Amino acid sequence: MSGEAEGTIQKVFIDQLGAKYPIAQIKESDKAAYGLKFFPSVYVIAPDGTVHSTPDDRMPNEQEIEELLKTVSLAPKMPDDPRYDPLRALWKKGEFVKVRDYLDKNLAAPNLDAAMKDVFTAQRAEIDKRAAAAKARVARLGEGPDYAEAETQLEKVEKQWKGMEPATAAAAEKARFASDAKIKKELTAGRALQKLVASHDASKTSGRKKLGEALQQFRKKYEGTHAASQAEQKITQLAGMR
Amino acid sequence: MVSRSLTTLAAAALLVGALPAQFSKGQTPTPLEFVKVWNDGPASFDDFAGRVVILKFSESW
Repeated sequence: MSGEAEGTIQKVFIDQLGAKYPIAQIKESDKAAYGLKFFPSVYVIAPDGTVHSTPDDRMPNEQEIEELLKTVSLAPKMPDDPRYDPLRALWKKGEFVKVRDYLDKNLAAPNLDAAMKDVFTAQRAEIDKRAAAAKARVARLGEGPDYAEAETQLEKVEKQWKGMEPATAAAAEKARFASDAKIKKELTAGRALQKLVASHDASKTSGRKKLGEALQQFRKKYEGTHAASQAEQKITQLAGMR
Repeated sequence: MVSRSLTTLAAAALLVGALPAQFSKGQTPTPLEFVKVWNDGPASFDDFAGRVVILKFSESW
């Protein structure tokens, strides 16, 4: 049971705020164990299932999250048996088409033992599940409104799923972006904003001041775009940091 | 932008009653049961296994 009704979550987070990220309604009894004192409260959970940071800690920055992501293994769980090492290695490389082909080849072998067949069948289902999730993500990215970031993510999907449906879907979305005048305008603005933010050191007061001024100019230049809205939000954030 | 295996979850909930302590760094948090999910959210807490998860508890007020 959530503290908030399903209808409230739908109305506020989905309809009004337009949230694109996964949202879950949870049971009140479950939530109590997390000792929440304020909202929003953020826990970051590491790949090993343990707490990496609590709501009382500083929220990990992007670089810290990137470091944490390096510890992620793309391979789903499988028996600790050297016979699965080649498959584990393919998962680790993140080349999903090779994983799929390896599984299909082995599952077609007439002398595959029963235990391995069970593992490979489960792995084959797993890659189908991940492909379906990747395709769904491509569709969400295609909806914008941050098309510049979406394009970056689509390129990653295209590379990782090369030879499989998610890559085809990602390529199609990128092509659609390139042929839509409104989206092209958003892309130009979005990339310009990324460049502008990256060129300033916001960790220093002087850098934040210069960035704020540059963002004001940016907001006027690209008025009406999603990037201009993002610039506006960034200006507000910077004002709060002074 | 981080994306690979990164899941952001906003769990909407209401704060009531006495508060237990937060989980500490290194502890394994209690699994949450999802009553309903939106935006292709996870079917269960087990889906987070092996991933970096940003678990964000939000309220609408």
